[in-house]
Amino acid sequence: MVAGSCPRVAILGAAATPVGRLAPRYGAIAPGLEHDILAEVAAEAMAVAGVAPAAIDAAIFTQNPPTTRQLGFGTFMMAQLGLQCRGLVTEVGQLGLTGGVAFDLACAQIHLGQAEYALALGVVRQSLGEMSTAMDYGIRAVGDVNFQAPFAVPPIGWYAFDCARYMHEHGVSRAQIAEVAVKSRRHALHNERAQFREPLGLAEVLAQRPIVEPLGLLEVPARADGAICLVVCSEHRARESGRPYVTVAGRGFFHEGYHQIGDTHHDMTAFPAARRAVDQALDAAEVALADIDLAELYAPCTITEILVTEAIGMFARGEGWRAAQEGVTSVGGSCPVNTSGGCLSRGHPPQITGLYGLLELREQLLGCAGKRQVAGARLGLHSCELGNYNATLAHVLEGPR
Amino acid sequence: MTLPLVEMGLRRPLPIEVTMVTLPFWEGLQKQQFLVACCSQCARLSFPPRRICPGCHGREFEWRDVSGRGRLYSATKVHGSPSIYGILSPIRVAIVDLEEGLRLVTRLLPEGREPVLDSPVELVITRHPDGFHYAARMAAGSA
Repeated sequence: MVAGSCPRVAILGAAATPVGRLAPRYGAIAPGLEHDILAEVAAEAMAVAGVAPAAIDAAIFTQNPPTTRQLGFGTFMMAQLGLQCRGLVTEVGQLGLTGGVAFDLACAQIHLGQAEYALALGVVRQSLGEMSTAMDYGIRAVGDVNFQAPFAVPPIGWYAFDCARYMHEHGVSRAQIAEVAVKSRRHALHNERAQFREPLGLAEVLAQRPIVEPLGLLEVPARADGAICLVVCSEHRARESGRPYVTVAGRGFFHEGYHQIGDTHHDMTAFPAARRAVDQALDAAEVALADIDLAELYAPCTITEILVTEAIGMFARGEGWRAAQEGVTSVGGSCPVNTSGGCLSRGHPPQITGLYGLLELREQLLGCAGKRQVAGARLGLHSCELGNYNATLAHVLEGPR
Repeated sequence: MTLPLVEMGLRRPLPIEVTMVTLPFWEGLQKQQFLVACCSQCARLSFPPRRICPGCHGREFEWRDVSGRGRLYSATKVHGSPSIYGILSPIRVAIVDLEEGLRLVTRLLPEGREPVLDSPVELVITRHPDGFHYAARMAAGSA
């Protein structure tokens, strides 16, 4: 996509549940299953967009976590919502990239002319699942099943490797890295969709039990549920509607050809795919990183936010840890990052985290983020990733113009 | 190179599916050797073994045993592993850079000692009630 020469896609409507627990407590009756929860959210998103169900031509669902009992989920949902589509209906995605991929494909439906209006939507309800099932799934997803999985490294274990290496190479302490968790919580205090909204100090973060050393309980994401739907269409249609909307100014993707780590010596914490994808998105939008007013960057652990901000060129290598401590990445700082509270405090329902990040940018760019509003926000950067940032999908969103 | 053998009381953490691609590697462990695949066409080393060389798409490999000497690139201790892994939690795991240029992930021994990154480590063969596996341990005399 080249800025200016190509019509843009707009996000015309959105709705989402708070992130947290959608499963019932033991013995209680569930308010609904995944499809019930998502149906309500999707209907609300269409109402926000002012688009009738009959006008929806495509529905791109995020792949469900293994805890979802209803299979054939996307096609099952079509019957729940009474949708008939001439474009594409499917479930997509892989690991943390999933939400971004659903959005990307919904946008592509508009670009290809296969849809006038498309949905990017998904639901995660994993809080009721067996912890060991979830961990086993995670371990097999992020490592060679015969040569890495037997050592039981969970997804966050790879970020722990990053963290240990970063501390060693740059002489940085766990406490300095943990400032990201404190900053994330400060943002989440003002996000009514956030999973954790109680004030949190550094001492409390450091006092938690270890999970994947050197990271403790509050430096890694908690299990989280959520449901979200975005409605996209051409900017032309969005303008006609008279409703508020944001547009996609640029998009980039890169896969570095590794799965977690390569089998040769290389710089594990450099995240080159993040740099390539973000550069591509900025180029397509014809803007520079310095023009970006805020960023929602996929970062399950404290260290991940530091490494991705360094990788995309926001900070020099080995310097990114200072940003949270000095307020640079806070609302009011020069480059606010994860104003939603991010994976650590807004919460991390993995398959739809990317969609929640895009939703945060939409609200910020429309000026309706309340007490966490970044003043004058016009351009927002979003990333999501899989593996150890082995692949990155980036989008630049622009507010009303 | 014959690698040190360490006796382990517990079964291997997961059942391993041996295939024609990986059979020589698992047989090597029984002889206390750690075998890696070397592409006959471009000489790139691969671990784990594969059907296609990612460097040149060559399909012929020779097996080479590595010295087992390497450097600790990174390490973590994972708490609360799923019980199906049959290993005592917490478990220390490491990313090891072998002197032959390969990088791999494995268990790090001994459990009780704080690892120091960039210090020397060596691969060891572990013998379990159900077969052989491998791990890394901090080399004698390392920090």
